[in-house]
Amino acid sequence: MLSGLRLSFRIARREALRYKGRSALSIALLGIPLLGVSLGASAWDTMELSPVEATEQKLGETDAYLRFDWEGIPVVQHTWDTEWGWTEVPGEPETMPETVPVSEDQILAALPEGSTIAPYTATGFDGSLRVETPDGVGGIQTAGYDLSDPMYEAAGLEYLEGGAPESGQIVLSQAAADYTGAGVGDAVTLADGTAEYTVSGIVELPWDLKTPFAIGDFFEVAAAGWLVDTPEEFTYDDALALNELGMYVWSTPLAADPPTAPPDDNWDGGDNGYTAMVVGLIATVVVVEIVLLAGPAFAISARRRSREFAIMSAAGAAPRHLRNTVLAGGLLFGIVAAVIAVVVGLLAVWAAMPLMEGVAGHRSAGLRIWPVMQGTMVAFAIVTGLLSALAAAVSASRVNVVAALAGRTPKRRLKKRWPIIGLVVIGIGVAAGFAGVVLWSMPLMAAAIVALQLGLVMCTPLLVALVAKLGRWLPLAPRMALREAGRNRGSTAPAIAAVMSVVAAGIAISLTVAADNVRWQQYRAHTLPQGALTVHLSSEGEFDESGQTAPPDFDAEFAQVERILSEHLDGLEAHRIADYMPQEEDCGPYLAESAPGAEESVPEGCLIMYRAERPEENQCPFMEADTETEAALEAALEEARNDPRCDETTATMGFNDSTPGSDDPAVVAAYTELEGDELDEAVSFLEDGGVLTSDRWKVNEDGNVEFTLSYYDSEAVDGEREEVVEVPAMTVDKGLLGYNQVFLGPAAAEHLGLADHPWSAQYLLETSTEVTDTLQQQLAGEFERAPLDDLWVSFEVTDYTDETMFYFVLAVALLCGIVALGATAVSTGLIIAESKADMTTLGAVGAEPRVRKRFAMWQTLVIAWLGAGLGTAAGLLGYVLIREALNRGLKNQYPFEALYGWELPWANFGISLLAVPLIAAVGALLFTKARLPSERRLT
Amino acid sequence: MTVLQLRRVSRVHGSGENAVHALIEADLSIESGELVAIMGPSGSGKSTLLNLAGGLDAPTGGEVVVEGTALSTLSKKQLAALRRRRVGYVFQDYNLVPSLTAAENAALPLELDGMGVGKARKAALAALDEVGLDAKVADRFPDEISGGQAQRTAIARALIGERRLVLADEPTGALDSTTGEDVLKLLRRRCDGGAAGLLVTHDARHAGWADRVVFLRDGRIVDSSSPLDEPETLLEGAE
Repeated sequence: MLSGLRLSFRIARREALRYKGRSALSIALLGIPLLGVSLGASAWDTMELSPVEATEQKLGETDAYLRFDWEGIPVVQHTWDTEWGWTEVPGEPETMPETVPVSEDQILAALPEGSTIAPYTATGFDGSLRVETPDGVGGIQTAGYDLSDPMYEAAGLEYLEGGAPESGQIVLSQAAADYTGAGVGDAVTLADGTAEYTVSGIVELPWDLKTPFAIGDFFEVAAAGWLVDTPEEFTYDDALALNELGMYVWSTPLAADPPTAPPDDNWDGGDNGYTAMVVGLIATVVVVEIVLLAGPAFAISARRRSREFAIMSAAGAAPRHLRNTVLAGGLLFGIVAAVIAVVVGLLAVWAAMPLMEGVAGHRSAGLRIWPVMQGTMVAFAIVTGLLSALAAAVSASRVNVVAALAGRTPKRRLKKRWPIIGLVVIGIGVAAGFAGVVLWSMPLMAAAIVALQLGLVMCTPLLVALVAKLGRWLPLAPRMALREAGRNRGSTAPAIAAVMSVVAAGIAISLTVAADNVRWQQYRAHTLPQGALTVHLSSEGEFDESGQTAPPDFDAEFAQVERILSEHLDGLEAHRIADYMPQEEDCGPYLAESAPGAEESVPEGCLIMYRAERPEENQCPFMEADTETEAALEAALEEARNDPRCDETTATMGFNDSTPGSDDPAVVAAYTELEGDELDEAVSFLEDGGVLTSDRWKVNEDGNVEFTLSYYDSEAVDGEREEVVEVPAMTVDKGLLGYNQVFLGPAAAEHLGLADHPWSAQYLLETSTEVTDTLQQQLAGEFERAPLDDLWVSFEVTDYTDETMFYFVLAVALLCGIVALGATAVSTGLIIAESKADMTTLGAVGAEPRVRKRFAMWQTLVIAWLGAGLGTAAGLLGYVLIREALNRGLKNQYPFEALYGWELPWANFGISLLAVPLIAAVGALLFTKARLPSERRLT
Repeated sequence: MTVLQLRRVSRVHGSGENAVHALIEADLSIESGELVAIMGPSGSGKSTLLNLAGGLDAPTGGEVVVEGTALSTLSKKQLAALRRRRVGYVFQDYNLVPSLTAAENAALPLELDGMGVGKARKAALAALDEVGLDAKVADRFPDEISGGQAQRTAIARALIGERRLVLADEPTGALDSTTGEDVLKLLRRRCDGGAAGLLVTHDARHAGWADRVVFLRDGRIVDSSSPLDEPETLLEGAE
């Protein structure tokens, strides 16, 4: 037995070395997905810092970091291993006691004698500055540390260039140096031109490589805490003494060995069963995809080795010997693929560490490999290698010895049972899919995805045979290509299956990611169309002895801004957008009702809120439904799903504390996207005192929207009072009206007692000029230098897109495209090698050499198109199930979460269905030898 | 002792109108120590007869018996074991496994049968030595040795162990005449040592090494002669 296995491995090893190209293909197909996992696992493990490492990175050789949680009030500290620690005031008082100022001397007194402290913020920086940049004006963060104190270098601050700043000098982070274009010895100029600072050095904090910051002892010192250096090792007793002052203590020795644990350590409970099922689903699908991808290479290889298997059989090899020989190849390739993937993955992570540190924004703790994950991957590779070779092994064990020894390829009849079994398997897949969705069973859904793909693979020979029949009306090359594809179904079908699997995986991943992206976009309140240009003017106001002065005249100030804009933007038109909100003084009337006399001095705690609410008859009944038991909750959810009024999602349940408004047609058009007569009608409606709403359920049977104005006053006895005001409403189909889903006209705003924001103004801009990042920075610089008293001007381009997801989907599509291209090219190459004898015959009867090239091209197109077409179908079917699986969890609550929808990844379709086949066809034309071979044929 | 016996063996490919009768009711017995040559024109059924004799193909009628065992009673596994232990093949195209050395090719049946690598190699070296190949050739791969060496290796593989039946399908077809003669000498010597041999050949001179010649035409055994005195005359008679 052992001897037989040893022989199998010896043959597999030598075959792999003999046919290096074929072996490399199989190893690559098995290894590419593993390489991705190895890269990801090692990169994650390398960049993920343990709590102790994170502590060491931020505190360096210093002993501790302190900050106040409750200044002057003794606290109990529960967590010790993070800067975001957890402390409690003991006794859980109903009202928190007033904090008591604690001086630095008191802190030092609580520490062992000889200790020193230095101000520090371990979570960021304390201030910011606007400075000149090569493109205009930009912001950098600041910290007011005195870097002559060695504590900062002990904490990890490192000079990359230059040295510590002297009087009036600063150091910059590398990001700030890049952003401002300043190096050691250069000056950084404030945006308003009032000061210049010479750069004495470029520094690095290992925990923040991204933030552009400057450190200078003359910047405002507003650190959140202190670094501590003690003469001896920092102890738990030291920490307890500091807790008495209301301080949270973060220290390396205590982080490594926390003296206490949180009282309720259920922070990361989560639904482990659900997670395990999702991981199981993904793992199953990945195994199937790899097996379908790599399996054809084994199948084609086994067909080409059929003579060798026949020889072995003639020498006495039993079917199991032949099976073992092929399986040994799978095992060997799996191990080699895993080893290469792990080694290449680790090397790539090692080489990319500086890049990853730049992206993550902190230094790593050194290359790490996550041995458990890498070991799992090797096991995974062995399993997928064996599974990939399984079908080929079975096929090899059934070799027709006589035909193979005679060099004949026995004509293979299309066995009807395979397509029938395939259709049955597809049927089982569909049934399992439905059952999985209905019963909410991940294993059933995984089984459905697997069954659907396997069913399609089983039907592939039938499809190829049917397509081959189309050849009769085609010219010689495509006719031969189609018929060869049909005749050599044993080779063609696996090649198509390989392309299908990778395209299916790519389509399913892209659909899921694209839909997820859309879901997250829905959570953002869209209040203007994509690309809309706006300018915001805001003022903090000025205070004199009698209080705040009157708000600025924004339209007058905007005239200056408009002049600057006009120099850069052609055909500029500006329209004021009102930002309606309640007025603070409106608290007065309410206070008069709840506490007579109080209206004369409106207290600070008074707050007014308003919201446009659905009338009671239009509200989703779920909110009032009985949801005590699981059955009642399910019934209420079911009712909600079928009730059109229950169209709220967590994405639409947000709240804006102000509402846009205007009766300027340009502004109304921008918010509602109405045109022509509809726009005119909406504008007149607003002028007549109405409001627009994009939520039809907000409109009551009288055609009005009910606004509820709420007054809160924490000081008042009766803390809350509400008032309902009705305003005529017009429904607009599509609105970019934000969470409130309402657009106000000036008359309606007045009726509601709302007024434009007193301290800010917004203008919608129309221009024919394309706005670039550089132009934005230029404008920011010019606004900074313009003599606009106490006004903050910001120019904004409305952008809801998330480029990251777009590029991710594109990367997935390209990766799948490359793998599909490889699978197509190699499979075609092998099939063409099998057709060598036919080409010889063609040459003998006078066919031109280019016939061979055309034949190759058409073979490629047949494989690529059939594979991509079936893969697209399988990917769409797979997504149907993945979508159902994901949405099911989101539907079991109200308001419903934004669901996964259908965002078709056109880039992926284009790459799979057009680019890959056409590139493969061109490749076949270019790389196939035109010369027709001349050789003896065996059949 | 009868090593191989064919009793009214037929082999039909296909069915109905497309049926091809490759071999029709062939009767043949080969005794221990006997070398029988099979001659006949292309398509007469020579290779079919050989494949049936070794259990590579199954007859559609009749019975093939090897050393008293009817092959029809054996499973695929048992047939494989039969080929490992009792029947050896020699092909025109040598048919060596390209990824195994000459010694490993010769040792293949023994290793498949579970013999340890060292022991199998020892036996293979002895078998190779018997066919005139030294240890230098033993460790070369098939594409590193000459055609004659490859065929000797194939013969060594066919004879290794305790095999009693050697089936040779035009073993000299790809060799020059001198090397071909050497190969036939080897076969003859093996049969003189007690094995039974069945040699398919087109060449009457090669058939002269046999104890008996069987002629096939259109799937039927049409004549047999023992000993072969005037092969050309017989061939003419067969046609």
